Amino acid sequence: MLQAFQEVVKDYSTPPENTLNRDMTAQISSYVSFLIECRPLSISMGNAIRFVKNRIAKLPITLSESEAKASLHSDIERFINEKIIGADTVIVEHAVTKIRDGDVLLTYGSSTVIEMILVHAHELGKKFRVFVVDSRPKLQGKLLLRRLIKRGINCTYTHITAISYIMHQVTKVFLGASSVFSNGTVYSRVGTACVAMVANAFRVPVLVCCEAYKFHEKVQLDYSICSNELGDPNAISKVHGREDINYLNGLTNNAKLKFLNLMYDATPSDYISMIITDYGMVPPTSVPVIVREYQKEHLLQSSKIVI
Amino acid sequence: FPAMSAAVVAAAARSTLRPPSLQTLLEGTPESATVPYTSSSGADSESKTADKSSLTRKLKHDVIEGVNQLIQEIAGCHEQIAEQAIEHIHQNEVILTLGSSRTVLEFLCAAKEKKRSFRVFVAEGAPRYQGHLLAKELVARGLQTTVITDSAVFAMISRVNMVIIGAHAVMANGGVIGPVGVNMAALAAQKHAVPFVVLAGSHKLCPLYPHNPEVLLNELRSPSELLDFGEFSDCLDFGAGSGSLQVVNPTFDYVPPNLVSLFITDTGGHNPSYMYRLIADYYSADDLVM
Repeated sequence: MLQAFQEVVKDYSTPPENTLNRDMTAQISSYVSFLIECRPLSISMGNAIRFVKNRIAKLPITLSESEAKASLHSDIERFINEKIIGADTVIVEHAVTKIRDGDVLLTYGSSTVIEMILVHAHELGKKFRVFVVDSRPKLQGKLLLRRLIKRGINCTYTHITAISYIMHQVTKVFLGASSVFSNGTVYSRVGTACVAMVANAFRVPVLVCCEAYKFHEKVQLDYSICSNELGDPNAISKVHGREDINYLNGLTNNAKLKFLNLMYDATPSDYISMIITDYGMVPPTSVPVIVREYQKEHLLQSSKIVI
Repeated sequence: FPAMSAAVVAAAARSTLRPPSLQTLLEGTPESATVPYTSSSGADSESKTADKSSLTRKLKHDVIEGVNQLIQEIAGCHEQIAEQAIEHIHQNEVILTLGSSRTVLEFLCAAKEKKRSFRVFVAEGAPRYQGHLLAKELVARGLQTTVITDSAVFAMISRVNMVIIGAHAVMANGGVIGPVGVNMAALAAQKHAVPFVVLAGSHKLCPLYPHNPEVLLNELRSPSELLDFGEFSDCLDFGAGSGSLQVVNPTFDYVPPNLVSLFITDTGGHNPSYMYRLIADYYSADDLVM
């Protein structure tokens, strides 16, 4: 999305009798509402958009149009490099220190950061096994499984219903996150809360890996109904790849039968042992501190430009 | 003959009130008030040969009667459990269930017959998708049903009033062997203080103690239910540089007794700590190999 915004900046030209700040902000807002219509924004996207609008608003009037565009372009570039790509590198470095020889790790769904961690640890020569836990209807774990096997990591694949069966073998659980709220609640793919809960019951440490730009000052208690996203209900009734499971064919229009396809759920902070971010390895209680510092950093950066 | 202490007399009295244990039947001793452990092959072997045929007939009769009783129990347990539904399900409740159990289906329909209106969330129970079957049955009987994925169980548990599941087996300590995924639901229910109710006919009671239930009392199904062989055939080639792939697909899950709020059997509702007494009712002490 940010790269799309970079293109917008490049192609932009200020209409006459209007200032760059206000007009571009309005344009960006209209693009954002288009994106929202396609699919509700994730929290990290919301943070990135706020950053871009912040930078546009802080542009001094004295700059010419091309200079302003170049400055915005480089700001977005820096955000991408530092907060997203750079953050991933730092997280991977922190997390591989937590993986020891003989470890049995468990991961849920498919997270890019977790995949990078596992691949890097394998390249460093550590000996470990991975349980890849998957769930319906997206079955994203299959993609992660394929990529890990190709890199030479020994994997075991299972469905989320079987986690009580395998959890006694597991030494650590690594989870990715879509966002972390200020009260330490981790907002992630539906099913993450189940995995963290069962891990907690079996006394297995749960480590969440999340870049700092995904943190949010919102607090959330309710785990499902407030601010969740609903997926396609037909994805539940039809089982892709298993044509013998067709019990619910022809019943999708029945008034008595409904399908609920949640996309996200919230894991309470007491199930999480540690959050690994680009600011270091912190307990879930330190998240509001990082949110505060992170916002302050925004303000410090902007103050550098105003001479 | 050995002097009988009070405990021995009590044991003998118990054994006369119950149907004969399999061991006494097979040893061929006639039913009497003697201590069960006295050896039978001693004094009366000569008299046995005379009426051996009548004993065999009696033995057959007893065994057939016992089996008939068991069949009747299995057939009748659904109604007796369903009769208790009205006490537990109230108006406007939300029930969560997993897998597909005929006992649960009858239970919920009995409550509906008595004009209680409630909603049911069914977790689909991949990879067997038994939840789909149950949902189909429930909708056919007119109940408001919502199908959710197993991963959404924790997310939805705060919105649920009660979790009801059917058991595959009930162990001697009150633990439950159920369809895979029930332990997850039981842990979530405990966290949110939602009652976790297990329906089990008394024929499901098992006198064994679950020492390592995840492994010993489980059954692993084909991995093709999880991963299509054709799709992953390139990963199954254990060539150089490629990691090994294993697939785990258990059928059952064990729930420890401290997570279960209530057992509903055809004899009524019980605590998990009481289940061992019911086992004493159905199994004679001689038959248990400890």
